[in-house]
Amino acid sequence: MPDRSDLPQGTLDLLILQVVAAGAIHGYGIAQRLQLVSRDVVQVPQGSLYPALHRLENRGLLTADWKMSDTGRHAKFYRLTPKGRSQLKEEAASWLRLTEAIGLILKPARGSR
Amino acid sequence: MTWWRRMLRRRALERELDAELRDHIEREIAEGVRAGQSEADVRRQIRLTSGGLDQVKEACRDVRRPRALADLAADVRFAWRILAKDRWFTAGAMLTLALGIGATTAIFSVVYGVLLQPLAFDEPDRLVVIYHRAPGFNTPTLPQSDATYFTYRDHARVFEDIGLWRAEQVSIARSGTPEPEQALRLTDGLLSLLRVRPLLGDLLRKEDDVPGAPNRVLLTYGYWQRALGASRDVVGQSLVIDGSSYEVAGVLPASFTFLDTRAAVLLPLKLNRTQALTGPGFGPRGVARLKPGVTLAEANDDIARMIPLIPEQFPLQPGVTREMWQGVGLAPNVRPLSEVVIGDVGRSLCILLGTVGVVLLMAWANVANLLLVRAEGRQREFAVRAAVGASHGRIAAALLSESLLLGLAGGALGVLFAQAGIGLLRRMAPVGLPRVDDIAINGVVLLFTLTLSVVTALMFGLLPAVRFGTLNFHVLKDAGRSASDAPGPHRTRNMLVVAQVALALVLLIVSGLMIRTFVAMRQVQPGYVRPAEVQTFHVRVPPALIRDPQQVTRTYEEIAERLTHVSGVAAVGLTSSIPMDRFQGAAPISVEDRPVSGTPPTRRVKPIAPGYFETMGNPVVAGRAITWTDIHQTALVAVISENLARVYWGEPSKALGKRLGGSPEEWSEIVGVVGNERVDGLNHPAPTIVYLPMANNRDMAYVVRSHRVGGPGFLRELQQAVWSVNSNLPLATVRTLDEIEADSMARTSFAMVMLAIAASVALLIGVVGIYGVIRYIAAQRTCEIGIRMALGAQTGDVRRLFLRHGLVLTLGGITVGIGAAMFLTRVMSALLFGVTPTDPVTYVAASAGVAAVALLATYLPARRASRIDPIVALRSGM
Repeated sequence: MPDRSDLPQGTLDLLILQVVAAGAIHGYGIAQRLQLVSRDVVQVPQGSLYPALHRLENRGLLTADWKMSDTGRHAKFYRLTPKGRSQLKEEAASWLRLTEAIGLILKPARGSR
Repeated sequence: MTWWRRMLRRRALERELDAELRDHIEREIAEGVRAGQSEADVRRQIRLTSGGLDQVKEACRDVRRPRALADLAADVRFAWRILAKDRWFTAGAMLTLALGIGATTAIFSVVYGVLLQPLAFDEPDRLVVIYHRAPGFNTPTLPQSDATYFTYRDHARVFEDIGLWRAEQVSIARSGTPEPEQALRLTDGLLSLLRVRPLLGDLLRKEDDVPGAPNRVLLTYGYWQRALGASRDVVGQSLVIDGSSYEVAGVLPASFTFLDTRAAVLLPLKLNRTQALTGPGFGPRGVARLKPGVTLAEANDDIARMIPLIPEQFPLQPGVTREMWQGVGLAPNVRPLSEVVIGDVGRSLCILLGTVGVVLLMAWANVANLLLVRAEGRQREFAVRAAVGASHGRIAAALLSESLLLGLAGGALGVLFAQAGIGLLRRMAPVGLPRVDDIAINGVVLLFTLTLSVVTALMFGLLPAVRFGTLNFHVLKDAGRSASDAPGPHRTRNMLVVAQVALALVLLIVSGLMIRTFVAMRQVQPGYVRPAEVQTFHVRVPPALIRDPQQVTRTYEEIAERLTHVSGVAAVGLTSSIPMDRFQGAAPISVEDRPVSGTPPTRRVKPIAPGYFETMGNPVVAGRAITWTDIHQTALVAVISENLARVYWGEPSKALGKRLGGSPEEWSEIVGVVGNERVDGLNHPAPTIVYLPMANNRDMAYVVRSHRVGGPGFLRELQQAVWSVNSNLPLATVRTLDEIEADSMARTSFAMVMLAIAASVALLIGVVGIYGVIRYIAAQRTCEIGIRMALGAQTGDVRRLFLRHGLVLTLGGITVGIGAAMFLTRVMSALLFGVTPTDPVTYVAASAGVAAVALLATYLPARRASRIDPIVALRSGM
């Protein structure tokens, strides 16, 4: 099994918002998508995923409906709210800014090695 | 969706959460199986990465609801389970608290109803009573006269209006038989300044309150209901009051009560301006409303300004010189109406509240003690909680929620107790207790109780929370004994016991002093003997019935004569006032051979008729009593009390033949000296009294001594005897001397009973406290006792060990208690009679009582401890 990295504090929310932005999706689908897109680096256990989902729903960034899924079962599908969409935009931008900055700081260190 | 709606939807959310998580797991399993793993393997993997389903759920729940609230709910649920499990502890603690809180609530509701609640009049803080200070009459509360009233009403600047009133008894004849009723005579301004509005008809108008105006009467709601069947067309009908016809002007609303008067009807006072004189006759009381923003000092200044105007406006009474008027020394004394209503009862009520406060403190101490003991026993539980991640704060919060639950439950039960207690209080309350009808459990009282419960709970809950907030984990390691070796909890508990003993002792001393007061009051020479055998009643002869004063006197004599012939009657007497019953006349009295400059000292003046001293059992010490001949001849004779004789002549017999009187023109010769009468109540010194032959008196009281008093038919026979002389004369205020005496002692006996109850409860709580602590310590030291006994200690040695402990605590408590009592009982010296606040007998007896009971409470567990089988003790301790 490939190495798994612990997600930095607060990034899980951002990743979830990003995945959900692509369209209504249930909890399992989110976990799958994260794992797939990150090439198995990001594996989110249930114990982190669902509290995060419920927290985002609580803050009004996500909304959810029970719908029939592809397997013919009822599942809870999450969607972005307008508030969630703007939050995503904001956080993604700030994340990119931050990583760029961190990259700049780390570059000379790597070069010197 | 707001959080509280989510709380309401909790069940639905739980279902959804469960479905969602299970869906996830099933998908994961399906995926794994498709990839060739076994279902069990996938499940194991999930549990490894995510933890159990319940942990995930709990984590999800956490984000959904405010954390503190959830914790509180859980704490309360858990506290409830713990309390429900430990039924005996819970019942004991709750009952103790309920007793303490209930007693405090009951007394507080009395204090609030009587002292704190504003009067039921519009803007009551602007209402005042106008009294006068009068050094010449030796009183700070001299009421009003016609002359002061007209002067003040004409010239007042800071008073909106001034009214006078006087309570009196009238007889109202409706269907033939006259009935005695309480009446309030008032001037026209009084009701309007109180802002009273009539229920039916009209108030008394200004033109009703002038001499010669047609008679009009106002009915109170109670009388209208009781006597007139609440008939709505009563206005304009007529009533015969004291033999004259009165037209009903209106009916007052049920809410109308005036001070402590229980009037049936209100009549105009009809003061006559043309006959008002400046002189020492003061009768009706004055009530006034201040203009907005006027202070008491300004009101007093205004009255002071007007006092010199009185003799300018109204001529001096014949026989009164300007010097004598000056000698009265009239000065203003305007007081808030509320203060006058409450009177001197405030102090006793505050003492009572303090007393139950002490009981509450002791209840606290006991419950705190119980909780400490329990908390100690639960150290392992706390350690386990801490080990699985509870913070100290969370454990303290859990302990606090337990005590909060206890406190609130105790408070709720306490309110029920208080409700019952108030019923009892009302029935027991002394006649003089003002505003009894205002006593009730209302919003303010409930708020007080709630605050009390919560504060109580926090106080005794904090003690174990602080004590066991710092955890020691050794309790988990060994058998759990080591913790109790720490000295801390013992010291706290010992201090609580010392405090309890001290508080119980204080209450015992206080109630002991009250009992000694009561006994002392029963032992004084009141000026009468065997009061249960004396029947008293008033007979008034209104002018409308018999105009001629001499005819009135003859009627009284004839009635007295008829009464002596009622079978079983030993003696009959006649007096203007019965001891302790109502206010008696007083006047400055000069003595011929002891002239003074200025106003002579005031003496009580009591018109009487023959038989009074004989009936009361008051011996004639020297000379003779007053005879009917004296009365018919209007002889200038007087009988004086022994203490008055001693003031001037040293010895009763030397007073005979001397002369005294209100003015030099009318000297009365002293023909007799009688024993002292405590007419102001048993706990007041006997005043100096001058007895005169009755003259022109129209309100006299009969005293009848008979062994038949209280027996069947006796009163009816007395009534027949009165009616055989004149069938229009009702008997009023029919009471036995015994009842009058009991009423005058009511405040003392009320305080005594209440304090005795409080002291008994306190002693009981204290004893339970001592017993509990010694018992607990004995149980803790079982192992040690086993070792001692195994090494050869005798049962006596073990017993002494605990007795010594108990003795030290008790002696400590007694020392503290005596000190506190010496300090505290000073505030109750006004309630005491014939005993000092530091009465050694009471202190020694109370201390001995507390010591005996405390030692008994120690002895029982000590004996138990000394009977321990060493083998069993050692085994249980290992």
